[in-house]
Amino acid sequence: MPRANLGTGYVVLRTHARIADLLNKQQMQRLAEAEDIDEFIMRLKETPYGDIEVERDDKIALNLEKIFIKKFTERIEEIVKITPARMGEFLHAYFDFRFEVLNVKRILRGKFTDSTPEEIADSLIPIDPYIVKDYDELVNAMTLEEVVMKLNCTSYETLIEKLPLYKEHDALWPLDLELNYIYARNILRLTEKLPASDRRIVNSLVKYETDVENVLIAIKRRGKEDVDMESIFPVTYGIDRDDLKKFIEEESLNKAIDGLDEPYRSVLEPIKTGDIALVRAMLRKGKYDAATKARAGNQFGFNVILAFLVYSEIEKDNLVGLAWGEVQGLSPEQLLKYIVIPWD
Amino acid sequence: MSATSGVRPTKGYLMETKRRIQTIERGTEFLKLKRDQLAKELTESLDVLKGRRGLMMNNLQEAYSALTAAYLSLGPTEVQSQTRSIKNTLELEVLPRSVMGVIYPSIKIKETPETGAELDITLAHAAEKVYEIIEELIRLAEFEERVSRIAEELGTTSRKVNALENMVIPDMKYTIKFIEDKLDEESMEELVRMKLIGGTR
Repeated sequence: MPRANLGTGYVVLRTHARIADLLNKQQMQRLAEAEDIDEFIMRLKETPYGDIEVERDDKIALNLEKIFIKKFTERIEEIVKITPARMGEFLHAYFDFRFEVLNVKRILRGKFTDSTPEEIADSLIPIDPYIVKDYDELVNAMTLEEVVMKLNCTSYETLIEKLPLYKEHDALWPLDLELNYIYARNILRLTEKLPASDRRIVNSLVKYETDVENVLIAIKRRGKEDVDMESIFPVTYGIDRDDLKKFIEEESLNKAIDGLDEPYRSVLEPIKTGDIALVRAMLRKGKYDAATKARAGNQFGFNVILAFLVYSEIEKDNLVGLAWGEVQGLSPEQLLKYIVIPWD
Repeated sequence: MSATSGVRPTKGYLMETKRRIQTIERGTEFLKLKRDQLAKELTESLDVLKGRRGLMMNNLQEAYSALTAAYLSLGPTEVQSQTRSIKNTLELEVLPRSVMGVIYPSIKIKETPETGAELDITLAHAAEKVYEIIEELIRLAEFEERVSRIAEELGTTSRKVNALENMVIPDMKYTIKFIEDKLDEESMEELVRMKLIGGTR
């Protein structure tokens, strides 16, 4: 048996065991029903998260968010460490690249509004740099243009081409959109390193996410004339530019949604009732369903590892939301409405 | 101090006082009209205010739900980071306006923040709701101040009408009567004096 296969088998076995450690529906519900944040932390102690040490100041929700992200990145590291080289490299990219893109966006936002380096540094996800050399170098740059120029000769260098558009509109969206596409393009390129059988799930996840984001961007531009479809939507997959144009121009948004195929129609359904935030929950649910379907198709391969990491990310997002809601004193009903806890 | 202290019981003063009382009575009528109009305006405004406050509470609830949903969907750090990307702020201009002589501040929105393109759609939706609330709050504050100033003016006008009707006009009428009595008395005295002088001749 080739060494790589033996490695994959071992990782899959470990991953199956780790999936059992994920919080189940009852545990998540119990956390949502906590009276306050102190009880939430007490209840979290009964889960695999164990005792959590957190500074109980007015930034407790932000502190907890950092802890949950750290726990999630530790899970990725743990899996990546034992995963055969190519697969590990891909998983590392899939998650770390995504977080780095978020960090770059946050640095650009900070520079755009002249935030202090301390404020920007405080907003960053605590991960090691993936493509950029050093976050501090970017955080301490004098201007946004300087940050972008420092990214020359990296995967982010196409941002430089978007600088004139940024200056023309005095807005961040051209850089924001470009970062989304840099991520999607690079991840899809990295999938080429994976065996063809493993590629399908990653492709479907990345394309699905990009398509839904494209629709949300189109909805934000509703009613606007002369939208440059090519520059706003440089990459499209399951929903083409003609369909996206309908979201901008069609009088009835419902009609545009109904014109889409599944799974997009279901994901965007909450927009009809004006509950836009629920789309994000549906997007997560869609990713969960896709990962679960792929996992069910092959219980002994890469799909299981990716599914575990997708579940872990959803769990992290859920815990971040729950912690914030507990600090705000929201009711369990309000909390659970936007939390995806589909696993039993 | 008596209403007649310092009064000169002369025909000229009597005519002057009569002219003054006529003006004051006409002014009082105008003030009464103003008082009634202000009372009507206040009653109507209070009804509108009550309705607006009720609507405001509903919209506030909606905006809070949208903001909560955005926080739950994106996480607090991402929300804070995205909201930092809004450069321009709400710019207001406060101008004086007048209704029936009552001056109140009128607020004009000069510049509104452009949130749509920079924020995630969830947050943009919440921002739109919050902005609607801010705009309503501004309009409500303007209206409340208008109502408060109308109420203040109504109080002042009522006090003025009461003072004129119950103090100033009766005092002046008393003064007129006093002067007229004095003048009658003086003309009687004059008549008697004339008759006495005529009798001795």
